[in-house]
Amino acid sequence: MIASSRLSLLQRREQRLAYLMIFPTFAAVVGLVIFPVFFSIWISLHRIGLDNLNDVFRAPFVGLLNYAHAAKDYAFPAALATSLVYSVTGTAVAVAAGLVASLLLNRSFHGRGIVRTVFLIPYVAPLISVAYIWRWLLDPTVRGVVNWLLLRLGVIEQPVSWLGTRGMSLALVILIEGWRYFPFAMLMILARLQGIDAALYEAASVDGASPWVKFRRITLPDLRYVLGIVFLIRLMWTFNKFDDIFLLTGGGFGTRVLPILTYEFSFRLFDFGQGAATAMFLVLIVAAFMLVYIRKVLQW
Amino acid sequence: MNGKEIRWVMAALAAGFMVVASAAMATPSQEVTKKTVVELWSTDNEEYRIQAYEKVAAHFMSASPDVDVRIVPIDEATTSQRIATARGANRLPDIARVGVERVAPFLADGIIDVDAATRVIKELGEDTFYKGVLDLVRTPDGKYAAVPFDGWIQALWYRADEFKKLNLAPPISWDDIQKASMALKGSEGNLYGITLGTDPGQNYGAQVFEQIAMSNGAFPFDTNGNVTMNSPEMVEALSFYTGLQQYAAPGPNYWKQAREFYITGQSPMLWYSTYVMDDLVGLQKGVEPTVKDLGNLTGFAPKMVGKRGGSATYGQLVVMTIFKGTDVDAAVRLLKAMLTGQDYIDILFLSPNGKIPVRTTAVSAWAKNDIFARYPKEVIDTVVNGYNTMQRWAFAPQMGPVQRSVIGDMEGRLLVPQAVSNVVEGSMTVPQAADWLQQRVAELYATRKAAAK
Repeated sequence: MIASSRLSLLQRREQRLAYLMIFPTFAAVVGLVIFPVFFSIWISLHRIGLDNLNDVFRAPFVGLLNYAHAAKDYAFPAALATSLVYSVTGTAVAVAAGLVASLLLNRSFHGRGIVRTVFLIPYVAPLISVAYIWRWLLDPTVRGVVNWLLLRLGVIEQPVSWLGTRGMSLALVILIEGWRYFPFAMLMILARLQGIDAALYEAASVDGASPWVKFRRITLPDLRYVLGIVFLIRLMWTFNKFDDIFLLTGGGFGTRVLPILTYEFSFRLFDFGQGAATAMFLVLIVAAFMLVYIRKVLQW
Repeated sequence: MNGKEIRWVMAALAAGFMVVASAAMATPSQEVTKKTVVELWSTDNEEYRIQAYEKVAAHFMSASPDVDVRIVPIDEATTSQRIATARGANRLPDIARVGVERVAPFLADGIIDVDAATRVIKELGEDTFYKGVLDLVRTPDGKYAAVPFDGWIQALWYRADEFKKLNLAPPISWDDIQKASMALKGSEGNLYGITLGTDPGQNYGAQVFEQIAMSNGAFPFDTNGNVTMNSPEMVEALSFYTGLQQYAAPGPNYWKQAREFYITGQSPMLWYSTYVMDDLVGLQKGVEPTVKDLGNLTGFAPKMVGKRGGSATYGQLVVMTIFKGTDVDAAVRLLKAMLTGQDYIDILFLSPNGKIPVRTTAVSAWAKNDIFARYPKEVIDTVVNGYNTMQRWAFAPQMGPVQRSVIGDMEGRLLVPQAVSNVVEGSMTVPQAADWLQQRVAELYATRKAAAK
């Protein structure tokens, strides 16, 4: 209990070293995360096109005009709805699958190591490879593996355009999203699962509880906060996701989400202000959701 | 941690910082070298093409030792994005190879150097260029916004042998195209009658549709400057094009699938540029036809006749834009060298059928290329004359600079491919799609007009 004004020389040195070691990370975070956020807010409040993109700090200020333009765009309401559906459902699928996988891996069995590795592959494989393989599997001609298989089995008569059919396209993108990110949920949940005292289960067995009751009464309550946090984090990340959908469908056939709309405004229409405003809408929605969620679900 | 360990850690950190700092300094900066660096972005990005460009650049550099030329391959689909990010970082290249439809928006945004481009053309001699070509890049005050480089025309390539067998007229008029699609679907080994550009993320559908619209006299703007995307002529064009889908391959398709179905004999008709001429005779690796002797069996229909008797040919002019505030002088000298003599022919020969010379002085040497020996003379003549017959929405006489920018925006936002895709999917009827296009183009027009004030 040394008062802070009387830190020993050693402790002061250690503090300095600590700051020095943190500094590179801090610089990176400021440069790559914090500055771009403020820069983005600045751009969303000014009119910025190709003509003044190299000189944004002297661009004309237009207040909330970009926000109004973005919200009134023909594609905005659909993009917003699609974003919500995609994010919530995709995350739910990922967390549910992660839960199942983690329950499976919770106890030792022959080949557990291999299964665990295989389960991790969707998450660690490079997205570009994964996306192109899915596109090959779902190719709308007979060359697509799924079409070829179903044609062979006689389930369908003509090849189906899986990613080119409205409705089906969104469902598939959601499933692929769940498939790709369930390992993340699995790892988080597994970590918590392994911390549940085995004695609890033994006591329940003695009382004659079925596996389902054990799950509901012991496992699930203990997992509540992990599930809550994993869902929150994945939802935030999925809401901002651009590359997964862009690589699979380009945003067509009902899969256009807000990040893709941002790309369209910025790089197809060269209206960077409007693109930034759309991105800000994303931030506001996620922030609002987080506030409600943290209070209600996580009860922090 | 004791003092010794702290010193080691500090040394390691310092070393780390020095490595990073020296890496940053190692990137060449222009103040250090005495050469002017000219960066050229080329969408001719295959390795063998870049090598040809570099050979031409080396030839230029040996004559001009004060200039260092860097050829940068870029992907056509991401050109807009890369130009935008380069602009944001104030690191635009000196020259970029782009389609002529991008010139109007770039000009409106004030990022290209019109005087430099005009110098290139004037110093090479205006009369050595095809008139049609110069018309496409001329600004309202008589200067030239970009330097034309090469181009292609679009045509409906078809299986003349199958047409003959079924006594079908060549697919020139709308009626004939429709009759042929209907008759040939399912016969002579064809799975489909034709392939449409139904992928809403690809520009192919818009390029084909533009020809169909023009052949019917449908343009985005009329002579009074009103938006006319839902005129009766445009609705007819949309109706005709989407109506062909019942005979066409399902799925979101663009030129890739269209070409594939044609060279494997699954479809008897193909809308494609003259780039396909080497594919058809099996000269392109990876795209060899499975139909024997496809080049000789293929007919060529560049002109399309619409319902109301009008006709149109579609083509593309590829230009080199010089960006403002870059090393303009060196860029001018480089472009002049690239458009002259054997250097120009070397580049054209990369794909002579897809690169029609813009300079009349280059035609005789270009036409000697081996590939043209495999096609009848009328085809070559039509191709060479393409610049004088090709039309584009953007270059109709009623289009001023603002309308041209809007047409560029329309293409950038892929409005037509989206509309076509919606109709084919069934989520919109043809009149609804036309109205949708009308509204979207009107919105773009309002934005461009407001910015032009």
